[in-house]
Amino acid sequence: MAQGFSFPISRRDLLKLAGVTAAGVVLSGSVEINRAEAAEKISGAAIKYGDKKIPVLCSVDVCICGGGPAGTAAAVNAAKNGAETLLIERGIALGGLGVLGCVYPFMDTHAPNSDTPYLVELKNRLRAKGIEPFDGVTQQTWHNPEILAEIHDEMCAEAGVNILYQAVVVDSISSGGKISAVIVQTIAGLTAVKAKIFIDATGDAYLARNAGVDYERGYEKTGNNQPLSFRFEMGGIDTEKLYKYVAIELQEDWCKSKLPYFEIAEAMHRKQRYKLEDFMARGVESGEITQDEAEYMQGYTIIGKNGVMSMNCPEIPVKFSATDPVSYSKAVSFGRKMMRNIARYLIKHLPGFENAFISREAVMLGARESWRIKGKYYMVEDDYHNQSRFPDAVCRTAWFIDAHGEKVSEKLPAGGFYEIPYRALVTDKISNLIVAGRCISASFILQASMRIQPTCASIGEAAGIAAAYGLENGIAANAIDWAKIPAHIRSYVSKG
Amino acid sequence: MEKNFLIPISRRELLKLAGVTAVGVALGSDKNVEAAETPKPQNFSFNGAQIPTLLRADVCVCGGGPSGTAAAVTAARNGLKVVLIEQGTVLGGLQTQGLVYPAMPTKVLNSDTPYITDLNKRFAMHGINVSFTDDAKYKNGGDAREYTPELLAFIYDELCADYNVEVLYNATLIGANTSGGKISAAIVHTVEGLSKIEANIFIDATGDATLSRFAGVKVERGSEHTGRNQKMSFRFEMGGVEEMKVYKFFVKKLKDGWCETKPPEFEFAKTTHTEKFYYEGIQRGEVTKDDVAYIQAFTILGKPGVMSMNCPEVSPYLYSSTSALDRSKAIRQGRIMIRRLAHFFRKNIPGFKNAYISREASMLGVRESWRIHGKYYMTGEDYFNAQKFPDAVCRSAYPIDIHDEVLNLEKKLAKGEFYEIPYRALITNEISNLIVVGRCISANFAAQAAVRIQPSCMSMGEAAGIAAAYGLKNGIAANAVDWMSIPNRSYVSAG
Repeated sequence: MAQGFSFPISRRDLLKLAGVTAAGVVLSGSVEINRAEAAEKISGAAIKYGDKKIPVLCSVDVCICGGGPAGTAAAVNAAKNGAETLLIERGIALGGLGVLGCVYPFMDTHAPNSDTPYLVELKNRLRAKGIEPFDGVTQQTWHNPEILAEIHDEMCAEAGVNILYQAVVVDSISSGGKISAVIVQTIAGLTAVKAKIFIDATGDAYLARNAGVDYERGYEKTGNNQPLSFRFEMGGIDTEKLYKYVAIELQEDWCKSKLPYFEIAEAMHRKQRYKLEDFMARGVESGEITQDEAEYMQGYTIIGKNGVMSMNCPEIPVKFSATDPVSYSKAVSFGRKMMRNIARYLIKHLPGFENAFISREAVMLGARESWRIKGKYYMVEDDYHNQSRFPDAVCRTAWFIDAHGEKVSEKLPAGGFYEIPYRALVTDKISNLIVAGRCISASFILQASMRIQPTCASIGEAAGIAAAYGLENGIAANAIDWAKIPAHIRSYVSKG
Repeated sequence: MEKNFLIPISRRELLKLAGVTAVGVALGSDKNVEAAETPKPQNFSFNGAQIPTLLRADVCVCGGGPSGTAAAVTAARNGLKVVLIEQGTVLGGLQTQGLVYPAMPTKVLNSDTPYITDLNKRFAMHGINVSFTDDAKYKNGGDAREYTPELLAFIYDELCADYNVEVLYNATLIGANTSGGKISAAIVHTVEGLSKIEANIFIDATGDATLSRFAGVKVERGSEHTGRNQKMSFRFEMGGVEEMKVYKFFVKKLKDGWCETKPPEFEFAKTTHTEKFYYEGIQRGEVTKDDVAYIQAFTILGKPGVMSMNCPEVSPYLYSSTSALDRSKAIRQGRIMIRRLAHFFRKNIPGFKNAYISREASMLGVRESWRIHGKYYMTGEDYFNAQKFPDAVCRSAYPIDIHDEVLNLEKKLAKGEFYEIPYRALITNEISNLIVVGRCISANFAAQAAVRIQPSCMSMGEAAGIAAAYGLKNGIAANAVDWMSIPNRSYVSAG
């Protein structure tokens, strides 16, 4: 039970240590070992925080803040490479937008051979659980959110990652250009976590901002963040009927794959003309949906959830901001209303949706972009167009510049791609911080390309490997030269 | 934090016994306190004045579950400016995020307070009759309420919009500024950083008495006898279920009379008629004893082919709802149990052949964690005596429902009997502008096991909203409000 959680400070262990047995507890294992672990790991310390003294929960090698695609990959890889690791997640499932946010499937990097070992393993684990992620045509990763949550837990348990669920990183303590502890709100109150290296995988660069790292947010030309989405799932769909209507009757050839891998899509004011545009426009004319609701509609079948589709909509107007807490809150209610209107319209008019219903709402908004750090290397649009290569590259991608509402670029020629350097993950300000995920050092436009889940996971993977390598070799996280890490340890080696 | 801990063997004592200190408790010793480190340069350090004020209101409600939402909506309806702080992106707490469906019945007539009546009407407008069945011939179900989680989320948003409640989603309560026996601000964490919410009255609807604990209110947790908290559940939903086949299997084949209604309103559970079915699963190695300690599943109105699973329960011996680490571990364990149960159902129940896990809860089903010690302290005797109070805010006959093999109390009130919950169980001596609602009100372990259900939590929240408005308008502190003198109160005692 609870394998992989090596914290010695559970109630059970305390009972063991204390020699007190609660009725019915079957005591097993070695008390001596627990005691030794306890002595080593429980600092017994409190830390001064503001006008309070708060307990130190634990001291670890690497503390990862945020359990999304990047943070989970970072934690698993840091632990696999020998670091004692704590992963702090505010929800009760790992996977972030991919699980809690219903962001499905993983978009396609469009770059050849972009899968780093962690992604290869993730896909193999999906297959082992009966979910084939390959649709036969595209390189999108069709998964299953519930199975992904299960796989993440398993990978963490096997690698020995300690997960602290239901905990929010609220503050940090730093001095001399190093973070010494993060302050975490748990159900039991505020506590501190000390670590040698911190990985900011919050998506919002929360820890980096908190520690004084320079940052930007939104598009420099408009000040707007990328639009938020509020994704949801619908059940009770007759996908055969839907397929017949959209792919055969309307002759929409947008989706290249066949059932059970089927997608419907519609986006207005794009170069691409979608067959369902007229369908949504009719709803605007009849007053059943608003123009905002009709602007973007997309749905994907979910593998292993028959009759369920993951809806990549509604897209919330950009007047709602991902970086303003009050505006974000209003986006939730606004988005929920849009969701219901879209669902009602589809149920009423789209063949195959007659008996459909909302089966699940995302439990976090789909933030594409919020804050971005300014790191040692700042990625810009030219890196995309020039297909930049870096000796310290951690992964490659060719996903287009997908800045909803602002800019959609041409795709790179087939086989083309750019790389992401390790230096975009580290900063001059804080020596023991690595930033992973959508909030790395990149301009608004470039971030619109690098932000997709497989890329975030590969970035996290590299962060985990680098953290363990730096610790083992006594090199500060922001001074690591990724190119000098032996190639067999690196998850990605630039071909230059 | 955690002053006056009343459980015989407290965590702190355990720590002392073990010769180790720390984790989860505020320490008294200065020895271990580290020297202050250089304050960091950013603009949101957590230290009173340095934190910007994000919002100001008459009432700040912390927690958007059944009780908090009711409190916020009712306070706003009574003319107050209200901020409702919610950790997630949906109101409803255990009802929506926890997938706790249906709302358990109060088992007594006329328990619906106006807020609940209004909520049920709003469901009816969306085509859902939330009452399981009004037919008296059905002994089971009674007035359990079928609040479809996704529709409830939408209706709560509508209610808040209708009465201008300012909902602050995605915000976590991390502290409180307190002076002179009053809370002046709640400190919250948002995507942006830390900020203050200032208000005249604070309502603690966190379920874990988090705000009360920050403000130094006396709390207790778990059973006085065992030290254990109530069991936690990790609920989930399964789609692709053929409900009629499931019905036939349990009712016709296994001859289980537990559920007297038919699909679309149907439930199955581990009962004396069906326990053999589950024990065989243990023998075959498909499930463990813990997995099937408690089994229950309900169809969901408005979600055909989907069943809400009131299981698994994680062991209360191993996982405490008041330990941050235990809760983390319980999630991992619960997720494993969910998979085993889903597999077992698929394999052995006709109608589940093509079923799949369609949704996991996004919060654990915590029945009990911390409870305040307020002006009135409810006990099991109040239940057994069918106690009435002049300042009662609601009634219930829901039994003392303890999910613990050692402590299960079987004695139930006779049909038609009920007890009441007094307003004084919602307020404290320590903090004058605080009202506590929901499962963490002032009650001992046994009493809490009866008052903790959703309708009671909603009625308490409603009363708190009314009392807050009445107190502010009349210049009476929240903990000095005399509920009996409020003309428009939501409930009048039968006593």
